[in-house]
Amino acid sequence: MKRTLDQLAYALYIIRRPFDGFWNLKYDGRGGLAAALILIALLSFSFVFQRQATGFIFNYNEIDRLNVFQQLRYVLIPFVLFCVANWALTTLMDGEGKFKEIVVATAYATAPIPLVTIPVTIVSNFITLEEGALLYLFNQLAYFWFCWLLLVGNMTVHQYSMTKTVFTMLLTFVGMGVILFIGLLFFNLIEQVVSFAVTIYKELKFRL
Amino acid sequence: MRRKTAVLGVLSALLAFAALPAMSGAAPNESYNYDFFQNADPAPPAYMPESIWEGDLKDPEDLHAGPDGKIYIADTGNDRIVVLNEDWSVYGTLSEFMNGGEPDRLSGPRGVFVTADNRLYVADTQNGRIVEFDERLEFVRAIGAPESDILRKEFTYIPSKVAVDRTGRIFVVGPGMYDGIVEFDAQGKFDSFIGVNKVNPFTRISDLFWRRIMTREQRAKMALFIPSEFLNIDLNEQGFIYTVNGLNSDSPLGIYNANGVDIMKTGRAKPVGDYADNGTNGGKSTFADIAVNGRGFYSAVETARGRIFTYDREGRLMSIYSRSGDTQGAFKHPAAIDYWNDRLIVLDKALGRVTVLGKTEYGELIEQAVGLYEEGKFKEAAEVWKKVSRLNANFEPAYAGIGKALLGEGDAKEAMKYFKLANDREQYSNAFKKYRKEVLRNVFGRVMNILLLAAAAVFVYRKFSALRRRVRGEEHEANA
Repeated sequence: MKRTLDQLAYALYIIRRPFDGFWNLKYDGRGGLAAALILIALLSFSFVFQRQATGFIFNYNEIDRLNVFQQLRYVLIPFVLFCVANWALTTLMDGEGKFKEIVVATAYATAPIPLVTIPVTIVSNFITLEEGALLYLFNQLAYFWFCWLLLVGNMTVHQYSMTKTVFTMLLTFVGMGVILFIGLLFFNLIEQVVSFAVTIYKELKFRL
Repeated sequence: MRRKTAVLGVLSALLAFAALPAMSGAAPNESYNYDFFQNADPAPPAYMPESIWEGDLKDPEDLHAGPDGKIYIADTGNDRIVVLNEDWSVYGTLSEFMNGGEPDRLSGPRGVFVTADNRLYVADTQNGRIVEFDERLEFVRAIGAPESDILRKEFTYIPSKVAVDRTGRIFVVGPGMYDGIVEFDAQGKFDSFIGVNKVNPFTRISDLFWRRIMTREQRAKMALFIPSEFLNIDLNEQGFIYTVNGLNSDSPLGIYNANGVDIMKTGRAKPVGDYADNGTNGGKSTFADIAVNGRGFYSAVETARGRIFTYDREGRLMSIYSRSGDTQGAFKHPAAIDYWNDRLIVLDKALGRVTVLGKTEYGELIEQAVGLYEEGKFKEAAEVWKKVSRLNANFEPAYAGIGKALLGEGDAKEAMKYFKLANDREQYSNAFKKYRKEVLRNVFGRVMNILLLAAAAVFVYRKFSALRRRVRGEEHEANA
C-alpha cells in the first residue's frame, strides 16, 4: 500500500523532470501497474467532474442527464487503443518497451490533466465570462504538457531517438484508426451473421 | 342616418362571421417549444384555429391582407385574384382587365401583395410580369421581365412572389432565380439583384468532392455551384425583407435590409424550425411562407408537418403550434400565411381553404412582454413575464425577462437564479459579476481591517521589543 502511494507520488516528479522520471520508471521500478490504473481512474474522474462541476457560465452540458459510461468512452477506449497500437507497432520497430511498460508510461503521462482540470473546474465556479479565457489557457497547457510527456515517455520506454518517436507516434494514431475500423467491421459482420442465423431459425420454426 | 348605416354594417359583419364555421375551444394541436438544449417541451400555443373560410378555389398559392382588412387570394388554378371583405364576403374577383384599351387577362398568378396605400400587385406568373391595380381593382401598369447587361444568358424570369415597399420599390422572387431578389425601382425599371443567398458550405464541399470524380460529360450537365433561390417574401413596416429560402440555403429563413444586407438576428441557433436532430417525424422544416407583424414578430408556416413557428425580433423561438391533417384547423398543404387584424390567416393550397387563427392569452402576453422589454421597461415587462411563466413554466425567455428586471433593481443574487432558469449564460455572468463584487466588498472591508490591525500589532510589538532590548543593553552596560 505504502509502495503504491510512493509510486503514485512519483507522477509529480515525472511532471517536473520527464526524462529522468521516465528513465527511473522503466529501470528503477519507481512506478507500478496499480499506480498507473489509479492514475487512469483519476483521469476518468476528472473528465466526469469537469463535465458536471464546471460553473454554470462555462457549462454547456445538460448536467441532469449523465451517462458515466458514455463519458468514460472518451478516456478508456483511446487509452487502450493507444497502448495496443503502440505496442503492436513498436514490437515490429525494435522498440524495447514491454506492454506493461507502455501502459505505465502512458498512464503517468496523463497525470497533468487531472492535476490541472480539477482545480480549474473548481475555480470556474467563481469567475465571469470575460475571465474565462484563463480557464481555456490552463486546460490547453495541461494538454500540451500531456502530449510532451507522452512523447518523452514513449521515447524512454522504447529507447528511440526523437524523430523516430514522433514517427512511431504518428503511425500509432493511424494504427488506432485501423483497429477501430476493423473492430467496427467485425462487430457489424457478427451482427449480420447473428441476424442471419436468427432469421433461418425463425423461418424453420414457421414452416415446420 | 350615418349612425344607422354603421350599425347595419356591424350587424352584417356579425352575420357574416356567424356564417364562418366557428371552432370549439379545444386545441386540436400539440404545441411545444424547444429549450436551451433543444429538447421539445410541451407549451401552450400562441395562436389557435378560430374559424375557416372555404371558397371555390383551385390550387391557390398566395394570400395577403390589405391595410383596410380586405383579403386578397391568388387563385392560381382559376387564373384570378379573389378579394374578400373584412367580413369574409366576396368583394370581387379579378381575372380580365383592360390594358391600354386592349382586353388582357391574368394567367396562373402565384403571388399577391397589397401596399399600405391599397395598391394591388399581382405576380402574373405565366405571363412573366408584375401587374399593378389600384384600390378599385383597375389596371394601372404591367412590369415585364428585367432588362440589363448584367443578367445571365440563361436567366429565365418566373415571377412568383412579389412585395413592394413604401417607396414603391418592387421585389420579385421565383423558382430558378438564384441571382437574388429582383429589385425594380418605383418606375418599374430593373435595378439590381439583392440579398444573394449563401450556399451551405457543406453542400459546396460535397459538390467539390463529386466534381473530382465525375467525368467531363457529367460535370457539364451539372450547373455551377447553385446558390439557393428564394421561395417567398414579405416586408415589414420599415421595409425589411423577410424571405423563405430554397433547400440548399444555409438557413431556411432570412431577413434583409433594403440594401440586401443580411440582418437576421439569431439566438443560440438560427431560426430553422424544427431542430433536425430532434427526430420529429423526419427531417428539416421546409417553409412555405413567412409573415411579419407590427411588433417585430414573424411567423413561418411549414409544409410537411403543417406547423407554424413564431419568432420574435431577436430570432428567439416563441411558439410552435398547429399540425398537418384533413381536419378543421389542420393544414394539408399550407401555401401562404399573413397577419390580419391581430390574427393569422393561413391559406391551404390542397383544401382551398383559409384558416383564421386567433391569438391566445398566452400569445398576447408574450407579445406584450417582448414589446415592453424592447422599450426598456424591464419592470413592467417582468410583471407580464411572470404571468407567461405561470402559463408555461418551461419558457426560458420569461425567466430571462424577470431576471433582467431583478438585476435592474439591484437584486443580483435573485437575478442569478432566474438567469440560470433561463439558461442565459451571458446575463448570468453579468449578474454574477455584480453579486461577486457585493460579496467581496462586504468581506474585503472586514478582511482588510483584520489585516491592518494585525500589521499594526506586529509593528507595535517589534518597536516595543526593540526598545526593551535597547533598555536592557543600556542596563547591561551600566552593570558592566
